[in-house]
Amino acid sequence: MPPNPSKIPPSEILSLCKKFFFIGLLFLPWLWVVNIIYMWPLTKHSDIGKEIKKYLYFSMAGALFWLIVLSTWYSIFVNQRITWGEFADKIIVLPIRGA
Amino acid sequence: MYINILLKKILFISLLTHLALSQDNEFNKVFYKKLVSVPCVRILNSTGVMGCQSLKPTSGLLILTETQDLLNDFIKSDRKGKYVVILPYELMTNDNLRSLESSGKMSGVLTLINGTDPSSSNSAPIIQRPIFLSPDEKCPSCQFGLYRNDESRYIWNPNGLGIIQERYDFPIFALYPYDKPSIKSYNRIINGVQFNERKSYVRFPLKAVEFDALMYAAVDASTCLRRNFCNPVGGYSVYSTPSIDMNENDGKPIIIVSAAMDSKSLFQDITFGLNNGISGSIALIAIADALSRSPTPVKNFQKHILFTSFAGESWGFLGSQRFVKNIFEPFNCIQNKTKPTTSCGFNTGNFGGCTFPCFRDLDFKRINFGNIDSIFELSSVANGISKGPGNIQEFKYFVHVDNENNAGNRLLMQGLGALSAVGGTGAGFVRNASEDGVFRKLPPSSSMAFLEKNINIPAVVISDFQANLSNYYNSEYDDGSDLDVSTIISSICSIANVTSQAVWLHAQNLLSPTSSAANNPISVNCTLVGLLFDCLTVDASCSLFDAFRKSKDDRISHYTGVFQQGSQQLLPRFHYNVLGSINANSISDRKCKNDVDCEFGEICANLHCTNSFTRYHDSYGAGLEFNEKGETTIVDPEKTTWVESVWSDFKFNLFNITSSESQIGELMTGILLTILSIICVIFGKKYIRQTLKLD
Repeated sequence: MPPNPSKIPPSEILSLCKKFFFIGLLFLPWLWVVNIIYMWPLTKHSDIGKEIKKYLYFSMAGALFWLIVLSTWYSIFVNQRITWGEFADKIIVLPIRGA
Repeated sequence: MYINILLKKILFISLLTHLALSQDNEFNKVFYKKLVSVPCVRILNSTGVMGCQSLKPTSGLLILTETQDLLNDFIKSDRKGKYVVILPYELMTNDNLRSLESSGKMSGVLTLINGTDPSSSNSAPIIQRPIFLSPDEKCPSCQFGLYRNDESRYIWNPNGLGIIQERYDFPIFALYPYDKPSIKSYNRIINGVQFNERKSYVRFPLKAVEFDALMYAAVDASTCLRRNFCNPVGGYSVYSTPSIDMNENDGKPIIIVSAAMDSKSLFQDITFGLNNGISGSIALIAIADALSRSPTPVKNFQKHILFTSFAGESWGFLGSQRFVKNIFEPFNCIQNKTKPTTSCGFNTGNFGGCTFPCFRDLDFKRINFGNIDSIFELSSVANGISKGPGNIQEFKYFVHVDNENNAGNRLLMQGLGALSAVGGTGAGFVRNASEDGVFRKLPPSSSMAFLEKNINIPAVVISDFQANLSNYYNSEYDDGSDLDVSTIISSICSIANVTSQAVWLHAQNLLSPTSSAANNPISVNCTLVGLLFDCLTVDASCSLFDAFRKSKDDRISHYTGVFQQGSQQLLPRFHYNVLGSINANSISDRKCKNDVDCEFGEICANLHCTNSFTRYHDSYGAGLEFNEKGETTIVDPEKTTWVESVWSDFKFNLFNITSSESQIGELMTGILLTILSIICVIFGKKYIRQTLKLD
């Protein structure tokens, strides 16, 4: 359920959307994803729709950026873990058994 | 409203109890029959891995392929699904295992070592015991031995299957019925196979087994050591001497009498090593006992006599190499805190040890490598008696040396030969291994570690084999069941007798090519040999174990095990107590449980404080060392670096499996039932709300 513009002032909703985006800059891509899902219905709002859409696109770009970065890192890590040796064991939280 | 909450609660509780029940053992017991697991485990070294691993739990239908033809048929067949293949040990060649693996139909292997057909009335064996079978390499441990750089090494184990050193990424378990639970498991499996055969593998349900044998270690030894997922293969050697005052500077020559105390095979739990391992160490104890009854105490002779029982010799001479390394190299104690620390658990102050490098005591420094005069090594000696023409027992043992032109070697060989001559004339039953004209140098032996540092030390390796290692070298079949117990005992006893006489004479500089057994007051007590034999093989209630044995399993595994600081396994404890008492200078009345209960310099042997120069010595790969933090590290990847993986638990269960069609059917029924119940809940809720007028 997105915030209801008839109950909350649109300016407040917009500032919430902005906050989501800016806090998301602190390496919180999931917050951006939440922002997109939560606010998306409001992009059709006549008043703040355009502004919200802008921030949601920013959030989307950020989330996408993180997705690419993390999946690249994952594939590199999985394939190179053995070659890296001690370094890989140091950055791992739970040691992987049998591999 | 309340009813709604109540309904939800009931639903929730029933769901929880269902979940709890499905985790319960009773639930599992109905569907899964737990079997005794004798697994092959993962071993690693500096360059890679060997042994078995199963990353995921696997299962398969039971199938038995008794012969090579049946196995080939199975591999070529277009059967669907996964199978657990029961293979006779003889068919466990690397080629067979690899083709099974690549066939894609095999999820695990059960090695059939012995056992009878439970359905046959005369309990006929399912497979014949092979005449020779060794899972070890064709030249075992040769890459770590004295001749590792020789271009043409003699092949000592030509029939070796070489599967111990291979890497298998699927589970291999052994079928070896020997006690009640293992016989029960074995019968269940064989009955399962016969059940499947009766149903022609098409009429479901069929019998299947499930394995889970996850080995934590991977990649190589340095990786798993870093991750703390493995332990060094090894244990504790024991050295003992009647010369209580032996010291580095006494200038007295030292005669070493040596043997290996343990063994290895593919399945560690059922490692027996009767000939390769037990027989030599029994002879060693019998010799120590015979010499302890010398009219003049042997400690007063011109030479010291030192008994060494090495652990882990089958793993590239772990015990002997470490012992020689420690007595040969100058020792520097870098740090001594006298109290136990996290990296070194010994109270080093009590025993005169060292915290780093960690040693409980430094008494090994009293053995001067430069004083070593000669080595008598007892290899496998259980099979020295054969039936000759006319059913007359024929005794035959062989002496192996590195260099026949070494005068010291010649003296020992001729002396042993002369002492073994029946009636003092003719050729003795201890012969020169090269009497057939082939000079093969030393077989894999502990003496190599000594000769590595000084090739001129006279060293003889005495064995019951001449050209090839024993028929069941490092195999599960090396349990003596092909021999008569009394023959084994008299075989060990006669060679121990000759050797003890030779050592006795040599310690007084009296050994000569014409030495005669007549007038020699030394003789081995064959009753003791019999007792030792029983203790180390079948008799768990043996009196020699009283001092330290807690569990009373029927069977003692002679597998090397892993090195753990300060914790000695059964075999080293046995040798420590027995040799400690035999070589005791004096035995006090003071009772003890541990060495710490006794005074400085005393040991606790057979529950009495004893004044005896008998010590444990570390045994683990020469390429491994412990660092200051107590962590194992690899210091020389060229030397032995064997480590054994850690694991948590083995699963090995028998269960009934239905066909894949009926499994799909079950799944579909389940989905349908779920949908139905969802619909029921929705309509039921509406109905209840309407009838109770809750809205």
